[in-house]
Amino acid sequence: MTRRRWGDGVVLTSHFSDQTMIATLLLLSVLADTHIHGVVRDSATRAPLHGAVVRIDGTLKGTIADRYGAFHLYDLHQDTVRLIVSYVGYATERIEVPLTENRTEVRLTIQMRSTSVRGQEIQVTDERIAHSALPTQQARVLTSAEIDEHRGQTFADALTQVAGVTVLQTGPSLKKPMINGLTGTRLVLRNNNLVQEGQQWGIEHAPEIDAFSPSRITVVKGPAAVMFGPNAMGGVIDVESRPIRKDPGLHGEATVNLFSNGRQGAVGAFLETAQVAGSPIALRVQGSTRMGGDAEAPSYVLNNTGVRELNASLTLEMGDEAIGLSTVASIFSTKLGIFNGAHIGNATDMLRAIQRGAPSSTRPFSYDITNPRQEISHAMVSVKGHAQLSQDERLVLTVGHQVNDRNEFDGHNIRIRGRGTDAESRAADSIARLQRALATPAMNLVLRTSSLDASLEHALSERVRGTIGVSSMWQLNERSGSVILIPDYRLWGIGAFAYESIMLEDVTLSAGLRYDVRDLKSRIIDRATGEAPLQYRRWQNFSASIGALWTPIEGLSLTWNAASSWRPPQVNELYSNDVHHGSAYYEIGDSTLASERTLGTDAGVRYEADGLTIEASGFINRIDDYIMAVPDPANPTVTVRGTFPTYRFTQMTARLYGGDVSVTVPLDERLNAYGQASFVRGDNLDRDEPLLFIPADRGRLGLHLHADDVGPIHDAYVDVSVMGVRQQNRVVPGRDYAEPPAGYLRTDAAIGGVITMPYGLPARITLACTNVFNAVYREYLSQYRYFADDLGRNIILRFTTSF
Amino acid sequence: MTSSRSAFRRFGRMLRIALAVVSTGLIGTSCDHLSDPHDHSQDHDAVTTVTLTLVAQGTTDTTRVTWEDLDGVGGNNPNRIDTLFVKPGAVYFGTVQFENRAESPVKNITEEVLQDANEHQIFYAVSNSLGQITVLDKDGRGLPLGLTFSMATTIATTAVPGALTISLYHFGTESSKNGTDPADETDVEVTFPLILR
Repeated sequence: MTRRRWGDGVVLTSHFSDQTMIATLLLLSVLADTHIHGVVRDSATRAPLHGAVVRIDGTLKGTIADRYGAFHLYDLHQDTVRLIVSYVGYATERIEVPLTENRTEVRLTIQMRSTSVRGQEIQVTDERIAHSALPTQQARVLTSAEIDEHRGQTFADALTQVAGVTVLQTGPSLKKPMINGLTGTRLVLRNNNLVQEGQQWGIEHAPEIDAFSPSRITVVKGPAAVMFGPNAMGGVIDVESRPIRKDPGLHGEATVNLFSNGRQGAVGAFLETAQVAGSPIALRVQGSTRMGGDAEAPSYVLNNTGVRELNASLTLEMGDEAIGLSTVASIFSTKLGIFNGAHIGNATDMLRAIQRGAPSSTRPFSYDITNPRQEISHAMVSVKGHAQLSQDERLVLTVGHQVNDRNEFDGHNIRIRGRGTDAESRAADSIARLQRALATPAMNLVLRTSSLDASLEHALSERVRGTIGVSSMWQLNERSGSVILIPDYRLWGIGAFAYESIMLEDVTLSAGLRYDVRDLKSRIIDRATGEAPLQYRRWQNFSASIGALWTPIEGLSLTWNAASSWRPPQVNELYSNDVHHGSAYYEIGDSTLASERTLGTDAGVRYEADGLTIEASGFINRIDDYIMAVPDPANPTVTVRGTFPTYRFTQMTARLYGGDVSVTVPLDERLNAYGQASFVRGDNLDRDEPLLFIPADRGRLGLHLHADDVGPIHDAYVDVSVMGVRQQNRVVPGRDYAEPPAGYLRTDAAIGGVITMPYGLPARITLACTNVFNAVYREYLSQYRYFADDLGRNIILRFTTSF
Repeated sequence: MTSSRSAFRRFGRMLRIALAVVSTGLIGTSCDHLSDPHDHSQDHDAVTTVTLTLVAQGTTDTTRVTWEDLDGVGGNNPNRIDTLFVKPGAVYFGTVQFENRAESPVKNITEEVLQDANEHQIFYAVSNSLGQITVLDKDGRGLPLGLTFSMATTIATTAVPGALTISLYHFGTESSKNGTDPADETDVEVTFPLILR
């Protein structure tokens, strides 16, 4: 621990022999108010440390550094304040700042030293373990402040600020993340230390995660199978619950979000205390709710796209660094309308809807949700315990159980006639039958998953440290209803892994190895014979990865990774046998599919100096036996509802490659220009043709103006950006129902700041507007693009206060 | 080492508490048993069978053709699709019947279409100009219904086979039926091979 004082107007740079830190403080100006404005940076790369926690020692005051590493503290009354600055993977800094009467505003730069790059000391803290990527991997952490600023109508909205992440959507309330062109069961989504086990195989299955849960999100771009198992071949999205504040008293936060489009409102709040009734148990109670009506395209209402959501969670923490337990129990429940314009009977209906170009009939705005609709609930309990066995060894055990209950209600054939002898009893009977039909899901899936993970983090020497562990899961799916896309099945899996990192002078090397077994037993209904025999499959294989991080000069870092991993075929790919509504094709699985095997490499460079940040990365991935549904034009499926194109799951050799670049240029002390661009290419090498549903090239250009104080508003900012998306021209002519939509430009703007409310409560208020000019556009990755335009202007008011 | 051993003991205690919390949930999944297939019976009216009956004008010559898919959507393709043979240059009067023969007793869906005539319409299409179909019946608002029709076949004898497609649409509301446009969702769309001879 190091303390230092510094004199007026003196630039003070200290290099300490102290094992934990070096720090540079820069006194820039002295103005007339009791404020501290600071910037937190990485000492080596000078990257802003977004999410660094700055606290004033001995008080309840604190703040979090924003995306530019900046933080602000107001109304300081002591002569001297001691700041405690902490950040995941960095040594905690303690800095004394004198505040005499004529020195009431202080600007400083705090440089933090990473413990992961030059790990002189093995600092194993809770936050450090939560880091869900190898040090050499391309991972981006979204802090709660950043999530707050970009929170939209779904969980996935906050992720799209990461270059290379796009969303695959079925309407405004159904969005699933895509990383570098891979989505669904090729990504792992972790929520509170558990791999989220929902129905992730369908395009219309969004992750069941509360957008309001107090968390930080790590997005790992690239294979992470060594850590998280076969499904992480494309990347990981890790949602971690924020640790409960350890200072005494009751704390809380309340957030209100209002959206003009869909006239949607959402409220989230939590209360937390480090000591429940004097006991050493820390508790957080959190809840959120959301209600929205029909979303609106620029020129019409998208009927039946409303949403309801009710979520709650309870977090209990006890113990300390040496030994402790943290438990999270949560329930997520939602009811989503499926746009009626997208729910069609057969291929003829689909073509007619596309030719029409807009919904045939639109009702006025309504909050009502009718069939077709989805009702989903996801309940989970996760218990994680850790024990520091010695200076160099730490054991972590995680037990989890989750239940995902998905009900999909069909809009088809609601043509119910009452039975009875006279008109009156017929009418009564028909109402009863209609209500029964509306309340009966066409598909109900209940998926129960239990998991047990154990890992031992260790240091083999001063410079080598890593983790070994086992991970196991047990899963049971029960289906009912008339739609057969997923069978009843039982799946168990077990894996063992080890990964180690070696920290050399300016190079960090990492390597990992994992072996997994998956065993599947399914009851497959044969529609023709009505029989339901059992089928057994088992797969097992290795995953491996190596990587390097090199920081040759200050501010520059280079990363390189190579990985090979596998993914067993999923139940839908093996046994699906029904019509996919909304896309009007009949999907047939192949029970003989083999595992996929991917071999890929990625490289990245990051340069930061004097406020200028340049980040670029590229990847290439070859996937052997890539599983995809491809059309079988010779065998259309003939039904009484018409003829459907048949798609069969088959395997091919696929290659995906792409890259992204992000640049931030300081134009002025307070004005930044930023830009971001990404591209992905996907090919079926066997047939020498492009893959379907690969995101079109896209980029964003913006200006960010930041002012520390504007009248009573602290930390004010204005942000204007334009997103441009090119037309996806890499398609197979005639394969899709409609040509890819044209490229588009969308302008977004936001203005925000912090004001002090009565009782000294800080309130962060943001007014944002997406699609400012109400541009008419369609997105290639949206299932609605066949039927309707994308969302029109959306004015968003976000309000957050905490105590 | 002493501290690590006591840490282990404390950890064990905490783990036991944790296991007690989740064990309730685990019981639900702990047995490796897949239950028998679930019942899928519902109130939804599925059509399995479409029957077309044609009577040549001025005669009692009756032609009856059937399209049937007893195992419903998916599974096997239709078990029966008859070919419709008609004479060139003739006029036929026809009726169409929709049934669900997978249920017992057989459900006559034609009656339901008739009862809710204002919300239904049947469209006919003949390919290769082999004939022309005129809908004869009307619903309560005077718009075409389509359960009865007439078909005039072309005079020129031709070896080219064609097809007769019958589509049944159910409109969500009366107001969305205008007599010329189909509904957004197709209830029935079946095609009979058609040969003039």
